Amino acid sequence: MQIAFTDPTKQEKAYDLKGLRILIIEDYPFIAELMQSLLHEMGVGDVVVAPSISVAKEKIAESNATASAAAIDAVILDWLMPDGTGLELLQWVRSHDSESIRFLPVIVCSAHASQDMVSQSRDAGAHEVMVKPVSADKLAKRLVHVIDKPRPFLKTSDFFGPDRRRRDIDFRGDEKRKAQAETIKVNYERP
Amino acid sequence: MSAPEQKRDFVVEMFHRINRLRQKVGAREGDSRPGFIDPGAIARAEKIVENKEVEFSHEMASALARINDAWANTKIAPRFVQRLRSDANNIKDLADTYHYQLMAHFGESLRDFCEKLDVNNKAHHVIVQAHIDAMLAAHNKNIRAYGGTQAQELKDMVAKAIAQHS
Repeated sequence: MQIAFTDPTKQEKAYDLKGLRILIIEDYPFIAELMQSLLHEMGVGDVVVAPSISVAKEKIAESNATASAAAIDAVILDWLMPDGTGLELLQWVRSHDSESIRFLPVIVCSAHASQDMVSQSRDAGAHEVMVKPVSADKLAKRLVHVIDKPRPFLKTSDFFGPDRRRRDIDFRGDEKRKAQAETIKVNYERP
Repeated sequence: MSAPEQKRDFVVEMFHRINRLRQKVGAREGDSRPGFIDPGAIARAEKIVENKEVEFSHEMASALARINDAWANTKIAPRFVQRLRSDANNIKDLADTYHYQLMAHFGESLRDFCEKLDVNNKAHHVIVQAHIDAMLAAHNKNIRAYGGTQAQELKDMVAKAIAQHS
């Protein structure tokens, strides 16, 4: 149900999430069911659960081999899984041949939120990191962020994923970036 | 692609994609203001988390039984250590969700210890077992807070095992 809202800095109507299909990759059934219920209550139309990295790969490959209405729109990925870490899944997604998979928004979600994990997930192409325990408010914020602020993807010799810089700020220090303007190719997707 | 572009060796490629998610959720075309999810739906979803707390005790008992099994299996076949680590992480996750701080502490401590666990080292067995015993005791006595006399006794027991057997 969409409701009227009066904050002039925001859209007038609440987002209608019933057309979204979200994949939760979570091995712990209690937490997976909890997240699934939260997303349903928030209005997400289709929430799919994968209890392992290998099942997740199958589900993504099956749903997103080509761009279609049934494709998974976003992934919520538990970092620590019994058959590997989220890093493996992220690397698989970001190196996939299918564009519908390669550009998939991924929110890493973990109770194991060390600085290393955050750096690894960011450098492997995660959009967002959400520290557990899970709550409806946290989930909603990350989801809205992914919807509203889709950073452009960058491809370099050792990285493919959403731009790791989140803000355009005037930097006054020494220039450390390797790329000069003439070595940057900008691609705009056509409708 | 133009001929000069083909010859160029690009260091960085940037991809601006069409924001299909925004289209799908009904954002008004041409309106760049951020959107929001119905606050009433978020509040109802938050209530789901609260309502499921009645299942905590039963769920934690199951999680403790699973970690006990995972440890029994790990002692026989070290490849199960990933399962043990994952179960410890799940205990932390569940305990954090319902603010059982002591249980979350032991879950996290065991999960981190699993990264350096040598299954052939009997001293390490003592450390893992101390964690599991402490978690069982915390659950049986329904100790929620990180502080307090009983919590301190359990933390001391685990700390002693780590100090003596690391």
